Amino acid sequence: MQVMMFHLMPYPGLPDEVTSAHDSYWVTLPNSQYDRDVGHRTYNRYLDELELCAELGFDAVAVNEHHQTPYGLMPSPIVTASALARRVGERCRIAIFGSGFCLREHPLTLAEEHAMIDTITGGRLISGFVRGVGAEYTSFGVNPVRSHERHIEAHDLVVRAWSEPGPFVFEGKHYHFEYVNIWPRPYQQPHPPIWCPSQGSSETIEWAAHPDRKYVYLQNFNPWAAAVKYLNYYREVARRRYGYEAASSQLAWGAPVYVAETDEQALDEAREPLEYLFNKAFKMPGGMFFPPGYTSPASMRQIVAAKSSIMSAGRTVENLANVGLAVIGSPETVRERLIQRHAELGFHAFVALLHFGTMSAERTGKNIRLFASEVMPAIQALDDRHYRGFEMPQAGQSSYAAE
Amino acid sequence: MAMDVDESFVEICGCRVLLRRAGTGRPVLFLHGAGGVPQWVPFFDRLAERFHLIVPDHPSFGRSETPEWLDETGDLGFFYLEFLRALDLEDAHVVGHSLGGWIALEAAVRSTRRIGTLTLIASAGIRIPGLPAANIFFMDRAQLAHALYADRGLAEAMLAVEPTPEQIDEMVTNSVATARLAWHPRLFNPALRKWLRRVDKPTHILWGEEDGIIPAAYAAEFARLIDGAAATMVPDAGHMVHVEAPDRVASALEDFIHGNA
Repeated sequence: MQVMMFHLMPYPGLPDEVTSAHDSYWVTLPNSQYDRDVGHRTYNRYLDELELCAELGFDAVAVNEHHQTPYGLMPSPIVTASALARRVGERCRIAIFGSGFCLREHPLTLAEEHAMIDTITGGRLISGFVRGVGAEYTSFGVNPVRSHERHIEAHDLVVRAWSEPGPFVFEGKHYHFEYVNIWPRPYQQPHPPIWCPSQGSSETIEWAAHPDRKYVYLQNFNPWAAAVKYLNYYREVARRRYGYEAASSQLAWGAPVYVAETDEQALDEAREPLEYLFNKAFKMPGGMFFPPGYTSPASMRQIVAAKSSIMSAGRTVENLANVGLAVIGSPETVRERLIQRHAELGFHAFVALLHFGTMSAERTGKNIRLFASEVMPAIQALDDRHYRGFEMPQAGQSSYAAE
Repeated sequence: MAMDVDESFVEICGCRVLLRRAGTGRPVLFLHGAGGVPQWVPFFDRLAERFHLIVPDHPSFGRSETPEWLDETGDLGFFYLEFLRALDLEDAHVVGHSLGGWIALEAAVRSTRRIGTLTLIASAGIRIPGLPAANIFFMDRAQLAHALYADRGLAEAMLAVEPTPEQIDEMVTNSVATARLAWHPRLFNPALRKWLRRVDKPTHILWGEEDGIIPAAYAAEFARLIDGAAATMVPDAGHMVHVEAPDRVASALEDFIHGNA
C-alpha cells in the first residue's frame, strides 16, 4: 500500500471570541484576523513537515486548494507543490488533492502548471480533479448549478491538452479555445495519474469508475460506514455497470491520524486540535456549504428543511474516533485499525492527515515520527493478499443505498 | 382558494409550463419571484376580480419543465415574448415581482410590441453600486422569512407551519432554478441597465419601504432609468409587499392599469 501525508495547512487557531462572533469560518471571516508573520512562520513550518515525511519514506506528500478561509492557507496548491518539487528527494511523489479546474475561467493555466511540476519532478505528480467545496462557488462567483457540467468539461479540456497533439480547437459549452497547444506537455504519458477526491457523490464515483477513465477515487473525512459504502460502490459500479473488476489501485482512503505512546494519551493530545477542526473550521451557513445545484436533491431537501445551520454539531474526539472518522491511539491500535480497514476495503493508498486543526509543531513532529516508524512499515507491506475481497450486493441492492 | 382557478399546462418553446388562470377582462400576466407560487394568495383574488389574471410557473420553477435552452435570465425574457405570442395576448399588463420583475424587464428591453403596461414590484435586475441585494442563498428558512416580511408576526406564523415533503421538493426546485439565473452576478444583469431606455410603455414601480431583500432605494433608481416611470412606496411592508399589503398594492395596480389602458 502507498502511504501519503496530506497537509491542509490551516491558519493556526483563532480565539473563541473571534470564531464565535462570526457565523462562518469561510469566505466572510474578516481577514483583518490574519497576521503576516504568523503566515510566514506557518507556511515554512508546514513545508518542513512535508519535507520530513518525504525523508521518512512516505510514498507521497499531498496538498490541496481552498479559498478565502483560515481552514487552509492554500488558495493555490501549485505554489506549495512547486515549493516541494525540488525538496522531497528522488522517490517521493507530490499529490495535489486537488485543483479546482472547473472553478477557473481558464483551466488551461492549471493544466500548464501541473505539466510544469510533473516535468520538474520527472513524473512524480498526482493530479487531483475536484469541484471544490460549496464555499468556493461563493468565492469564485461560479454558478453551482453548472458545477458538474463545468467539472466534466474542464476535465475533458485539460486531459486533451495534456495528451493530444496540439494545436487543436476546443469547442465546449463553458470553455472555448481556438488554440490549445501547451508547452510543456506533462512528463508522464499520456498524463499524470488522475485522482478524484470526493465526499461520496454517486455521480463522481460513477464517472471516475468509467472504463475510459478508471481514476483513483479518494474517500476523505467520512465516518467509516460512509467509506465502506462509497468505496464498495466503486467496485460495484465497475462490475455491474461497466463489466470489469476494479483494481484496488483505483481506491484510496484518507483520515486524520494521531499516534501517541498510549491510547489515552493519543485521545488526550488529539482532542483540542481535532475538535477545533470539526467544530470550528467547517462552520458556515448551510447555503454556503451546499449551494443550490451543487449537491443532490436529497441533500438539498435536508438543507432546505433545516431551520438553522446544519454545521453546528458539537463533535468530540471520542465520537470522531468511534465513528471511524479519525484514527487515534497507540502505535499498536493505529496499526491494527489500519490493517483491519484495509482488509475490509482493500484500498491501495492511505492518505494520512497527520496534522490537523491547531496541532503544535512539536506534537505534529512527534505524530509524524511515531507513525512513520511504528505504523507505516506494516501498512506499506499490505496488498491484495491481505484484502478479504469484494462481496457484490444482491440483485436489486446497492452498496450506495446501504446506511 | 376563494376563486375558481384554472390550472393547465401549455408547451411553448418546447417547454411545458404550468399556467394558473382566473377572472376575465384585460390580460394581466404575473411573473413570480424566486420563491415561485407556493400558494394562491389574496392579492391574486383581488386582481382576478377585475382582470384576466395569468400566473405561470417560469420554466425551471415549480411544476414547469427545465428546458435545455435555459442558461440565463435573458432566455426567459425571450421566452415570455414567445409566450405572449403563443397565447395571442395584445396589450398585456405585465406585473413582475422580484426575480419576475427582472424577467419582465429582459422581455421589455427586447420588445414591448405585446406589452400594454409594465409593473415592477420590488424588482431585481440591476445593481446600485455599494447597495447589493441581500444574499438569499446564505439564508436558512427562518432568516429568509424575516427578510421577506416586515411583519415579524407574519414571518413567525409562516415558520410555525412545517412544510410538507412536496413543498420542500418545490423549495429545492425553486432554489436551484433561482441559482441558475441569479447566483452570480447576484440577482442582476450588468448589461440590463444600459438598455432600460428601450422600455417605452407606461411603467409603474411598487416597493415595500421595509424591503429586506432589495433595498427600497432601488425604486427611485428604476424610476430614474425608465422614461416616465413612477414609483409608489408602501409603508410597513417588506419584499413580499403584495402579500403583506394586498389591497394597497392591488388598488395601486388597478388605478395604474385603468389610467393607462
